[in-house]
Amino acid sequence: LIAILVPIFSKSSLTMKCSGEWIGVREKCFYFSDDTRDWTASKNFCSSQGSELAQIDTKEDMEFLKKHIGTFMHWIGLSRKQGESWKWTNGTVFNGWFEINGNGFFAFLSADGVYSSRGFVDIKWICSKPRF
Amino acid sequence: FWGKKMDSSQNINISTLAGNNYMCPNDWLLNQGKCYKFLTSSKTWNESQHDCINLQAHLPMIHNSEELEFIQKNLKPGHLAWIGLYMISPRKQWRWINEHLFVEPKIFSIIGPTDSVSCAVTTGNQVYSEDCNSKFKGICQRDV
Repeated sequence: LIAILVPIFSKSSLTMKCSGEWIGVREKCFYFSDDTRDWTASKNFCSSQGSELAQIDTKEDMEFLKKHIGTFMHWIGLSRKQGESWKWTNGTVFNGWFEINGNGFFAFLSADGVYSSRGFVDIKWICSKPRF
Repeated sequence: FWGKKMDSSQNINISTLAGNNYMCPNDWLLNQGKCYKFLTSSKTWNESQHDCINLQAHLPMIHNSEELEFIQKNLKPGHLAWIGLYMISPRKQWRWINEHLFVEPKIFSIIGPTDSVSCAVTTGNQVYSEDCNSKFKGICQRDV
């Protein structure tokens, strides 16, 4: 039993850390901005930190983010071009596991769901990166 | 001068200007003789205007920079809301909900594209052009 547990514990302690203001949840570190910017400037900020605008892959991550943002709107890493499907900032096509409300081309997260905008408004943003 | 007191028995905010009482319903904010309510659910521009009409109000018409400042001051960073300004292409002219033309940049400018039907939202900093069918929160405004 110990032989099984030791490697698990040592692996989880390795993946515990997210640096500075980043918050660790499961396999990811998240950064919540205080400042507000448009979608592109937010995306550039995340890139400069070696991360992406938040990619949300699981229900658990979504629930965590919704709880954490309070009443504020936050950009996430989904955008689309005219006539194309939604894509994450790393180029992966979004599989549509949650609904994106509205006619916009850039997605933001609110406590009550994901909405879309033309991308110019200055709101907060979330970056994400893998823990390891 | 402006004096403020709270009538706790009726839960109504009363402000007194030179002897006249100005009142807003409970949970509305008072500024310059107008009452404001910040709506809490995200809806299209039309739906938000409809919600305001049900409250005997309308999306805000902004006549001076003090009114804009008041609204923006009450929107925290990361919040935004519809105002009573829209543009139907191909006229490319912004109009207030009372059909009066909006003259840019008299009080403020509007950031964003104007090549299709657009409605205006404000954040704590700036006013932007958005698709009217996108969903944002709204602000209702009415005279006291």
